[in-house]
Amino acid sequence: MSSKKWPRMIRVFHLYKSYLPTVAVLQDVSFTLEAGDFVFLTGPSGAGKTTLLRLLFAAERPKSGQILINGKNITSFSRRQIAHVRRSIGVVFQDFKLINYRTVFDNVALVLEITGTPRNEIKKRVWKVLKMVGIEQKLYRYPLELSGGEQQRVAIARALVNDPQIILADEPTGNLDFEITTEIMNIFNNVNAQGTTVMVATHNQLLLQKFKRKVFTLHNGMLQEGVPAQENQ
Amino acid sequence: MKMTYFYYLLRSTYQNIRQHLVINLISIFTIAFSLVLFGLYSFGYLNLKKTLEDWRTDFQMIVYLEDSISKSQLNSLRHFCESSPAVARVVHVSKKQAMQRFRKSLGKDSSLLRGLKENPLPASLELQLKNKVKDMQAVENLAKQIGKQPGVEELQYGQQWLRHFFSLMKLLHIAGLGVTGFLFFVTVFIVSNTIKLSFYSRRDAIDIMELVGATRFYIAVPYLLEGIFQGLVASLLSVGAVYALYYYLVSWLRQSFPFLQGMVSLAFFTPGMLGGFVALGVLLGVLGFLVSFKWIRGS
Repeated sequence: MSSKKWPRMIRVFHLYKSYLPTVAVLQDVSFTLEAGDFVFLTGPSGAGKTTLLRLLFAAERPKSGQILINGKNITSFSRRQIAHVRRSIGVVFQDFKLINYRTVFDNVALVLEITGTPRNEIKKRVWKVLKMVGIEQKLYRYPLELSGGEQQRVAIARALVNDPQIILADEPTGNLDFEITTEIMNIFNNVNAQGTTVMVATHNQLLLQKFKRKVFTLHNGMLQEGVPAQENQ
Repeated sequence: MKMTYFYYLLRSTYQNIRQHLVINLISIFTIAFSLVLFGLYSFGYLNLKKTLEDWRTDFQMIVYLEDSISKSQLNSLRHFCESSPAVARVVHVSKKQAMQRFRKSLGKDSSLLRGLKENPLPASLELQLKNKVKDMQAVENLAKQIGKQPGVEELQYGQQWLRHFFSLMKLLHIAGLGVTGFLFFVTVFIVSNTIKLSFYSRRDAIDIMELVGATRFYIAVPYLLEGIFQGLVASLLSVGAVYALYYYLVSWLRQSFPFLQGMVSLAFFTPGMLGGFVALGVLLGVLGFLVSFKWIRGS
């Protein structure tokens, strides 16, 4: 894989993050992900997986180090620039983060509405993405009327509807049974097959064994590439 | 593109209001209640001020003239009074006219005056002061200047009453400013706390919108429009409520105190003041939004 053919989508250089002066959450984390990469981010609870993902979509700023998303250094971005960068990143959370007073359609459409996409275009794209994740029949339901697996599909649809270059998923299957977990991982696989860079944070070893992908392991805030989690613990 | 964006902002505002109807109703009634209090206070202030000023219109300064005053002295005194910026009107009352008035005022007892060999009443100039005269000092200065003119025997202008009147007006202005300021801050405080409550319930939604790339502008505008909507509805409701109370009060006064008719007239707000009242409601909604949005983004 040459870097010319596959542009570097995420580049992280010597990233440090700490919430308390004496406790480092991330220490000298560096890695590169190219377009079309699929990587599992694993490690024990509290290892810094969520913090790393939050830094990648600029929900937090690092203590030091640089993060380049599609060639742009987001560590010095303004609030407005961050908002625009986030439109090229689809984020999926363990707790779904859906707006409960908006319908499934409106939750997914939100991502397109903020960019001023015409209504007809939104209808087409939302329908297409909901069909892709297999939840098109629940279009006008509210999130609390859906099961956990269905809510996660809606969250994935929202992450995908804008054709993002990157998908970041933080324990996306943490609350779901293995059958639904497999279905959701298949959705990520399909998206990845179309060239989207996918990073899935998980501590589920079964997932790593079933889906053979590149693994980044975080341990005590330090990142090791290509090491399966069980070997590290 | 722009229109579509604006349509989504309006739609988002509508969705916010519809989905948080109870919180919106609480905000609307809070603003409306504060505005009704403010409206009632303004109504009371307005009518008290009007009543006091109506009374003052009847007020005159009487310049009693010496019997020996010459015609040219009288003309020059009259001219002096008329050219004063504080004087609205000057009426000359001759000795004869003064006696006629006195006789008339005595009515049946006017026969008492038959024994008088000569007219003891002095001629006078009756000065009506302008409404723009706002303090006692100006009246006293005027009196002092007129008193120095030749031919003036005595001045009478109800010093005591006028002093009380100006003190009362001053007190009313100070109290008016104080109460208005206090009510305004209390209202902004209550309204912003109510809006904070509504923000708090939607904090997750705001976080989610930020996560998917919404700009601050896109997030804030629907809340701003919601604040304007609340202020607008609340001010219209409160204008209606204050008018209903005014109507009830006028009817009650007419029925209970028919003798007051013509003596006391209650005035409602002018169209300009009503516009100001609605603008105040909208301003409260906007201020409430600004205070609570700043708070939620800072916390």
